[in-house]
Amino acid sequence: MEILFIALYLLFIVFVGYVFILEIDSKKSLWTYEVILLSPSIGAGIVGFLLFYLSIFGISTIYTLSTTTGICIFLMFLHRKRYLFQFKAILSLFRRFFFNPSLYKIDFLLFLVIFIIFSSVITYSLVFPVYEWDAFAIWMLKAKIIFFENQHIASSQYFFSPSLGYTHPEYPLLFPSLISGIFTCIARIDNVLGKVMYPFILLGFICLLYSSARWKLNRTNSLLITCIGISVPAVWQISSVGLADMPLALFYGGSLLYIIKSLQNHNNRIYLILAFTFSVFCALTKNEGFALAIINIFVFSVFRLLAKKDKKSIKEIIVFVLLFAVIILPWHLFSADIPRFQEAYFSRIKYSIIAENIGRLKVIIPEFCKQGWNFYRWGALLLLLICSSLWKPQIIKEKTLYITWILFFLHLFLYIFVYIITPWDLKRLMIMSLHRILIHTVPSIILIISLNLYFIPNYAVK
Amino acid sequence: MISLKKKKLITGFLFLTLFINLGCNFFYSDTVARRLITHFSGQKDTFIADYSSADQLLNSLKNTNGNIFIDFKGFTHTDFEPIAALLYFRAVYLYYPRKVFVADPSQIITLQGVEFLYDNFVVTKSFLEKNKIKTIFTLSHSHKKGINWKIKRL
Repeated sequence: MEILFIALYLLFIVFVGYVFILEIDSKKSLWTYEVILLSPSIGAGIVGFLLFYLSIFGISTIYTLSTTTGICIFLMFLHRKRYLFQFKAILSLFRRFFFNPSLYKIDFLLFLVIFIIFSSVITYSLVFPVYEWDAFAIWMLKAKIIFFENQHIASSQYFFSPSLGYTHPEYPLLFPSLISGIFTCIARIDNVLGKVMYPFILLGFICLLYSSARWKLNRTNSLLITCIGISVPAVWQISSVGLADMPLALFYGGSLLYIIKSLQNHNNRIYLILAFTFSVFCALTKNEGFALAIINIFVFSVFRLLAKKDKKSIKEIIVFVLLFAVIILPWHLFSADIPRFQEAYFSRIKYSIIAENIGRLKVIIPEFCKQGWNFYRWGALLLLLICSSLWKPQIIKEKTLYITWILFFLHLFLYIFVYIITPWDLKRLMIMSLHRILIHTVPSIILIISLNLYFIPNYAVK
Repeated sequence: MISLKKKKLITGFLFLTLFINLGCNFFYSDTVARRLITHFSGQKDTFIADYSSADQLLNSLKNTNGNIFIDFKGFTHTDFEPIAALLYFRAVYLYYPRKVFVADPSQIITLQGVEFLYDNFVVTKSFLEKNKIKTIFTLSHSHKKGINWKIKRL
């Protein structure tokens, strides 16, 4: 029975994502496959966001889940023509995908590889205990706290208890809120069943990688690129252990893809809304996600103004920034009162600290390079990135490609900067965290590789 | 336009990348694939073993009630500090919403997670009552005997 409730909860997440996408896509500008592939990640973000924010405002999880279901059903009824049209399109897409006589054997093989990796993550998550330190001491513990304290979370002693300083009470609660939803569905805490959320996040990640590759490439190459992305040992590993790095990689991947798409197609507002939505999820998943969202907004604003300096562009940028600030503000107001028992990175952004620690670059840069060439962690991903980029270097002039590269480098600079100002022992911290945070760059690497392949004439175009 | 030969070369390289990635998952010990193979072939996974032993040890608290105080004895050595930290944080995680104390609640426990081993905290009756502690779990560590445990129900 509990398994059934959890399955319903996961379906509910996909359903919420699906309804959200169809509601914002009134002009039907997204491909049907895109709507399906985005539903798990958008749904996970929205449900996590609602559970997180409404619990801060004193609303219980049960109430949030039931009200959201009611609103979604009402919206479906209100726009039933749109939903019916989309439903028929999905049926025809599935028919074409699974009963297509021209489907290559290689596609099935690649599909099988994805399925095996996904199944192994399900098995691993359910068989092994949560053993990664941050996973049990930070994220899973937070999920339990949200379940127990629920609508009283704002007055919870947890946020102020120095003896729980290790658990970083100031970290955002989107991912643990999503796990606490499982506990609510089964009405108890279960250390094993709570981990069902890990493979679900991987499913969203698989869909997102495929969607970003499929933007420009044919089906076989998109499946191949997706397989390469998820077979990277670090991705396979991190997606099974319950850290918040996988959800952040997922949301960051979504924000990146739709920022690039919105910069390429100025008239399509849906891309901008999706980029904005994913950026908000990033900021509420991990603290570094907030910085990544700021980078996204900055890059979007600069390139939007460079392309078109009209009233519409300025208006869009202002709306993007203001809405982002308004949505993020409640959490930042709430977390401002939480004592920082460990590091407080914002207060360390000072010239004196940067000047004092700039010598750390001698350690940081080689460590980053070494990490990229660590085949046991990253497989041949970096090698593929370099080779695909060097195949025809002049394609870097393509707008979509150079903006993705800029976002990728800004992302790396951000993490280098964090290591410069960190109060912790640098070497120890890098050993513990570097491979985890570099997971966030996988979607950009995959997008760059896909674009590189796309710009090779007549190779893998749709 | 690129030639068929170049096309095959690119495709071959993409597949080679995939094979390298998959291969690395099977040859590196700290991966999902290797761990699953180790687990289902009945071999001992040394990495997980520490966590399993910690959980097994903490399992003895299952039939107790109220908040818990863990008294660590003999862990003040750099080799044993990580064991104490692991046991403390595992207990906090496993027994939530019951509270686990190892020192005064105002003591900050951070990344090292071992500060409490050195603060010579003395448990008093008022401390136990104030924090609704019903179980004292004493863990003693010695070179010869390893870890011994004792439960005192209050």
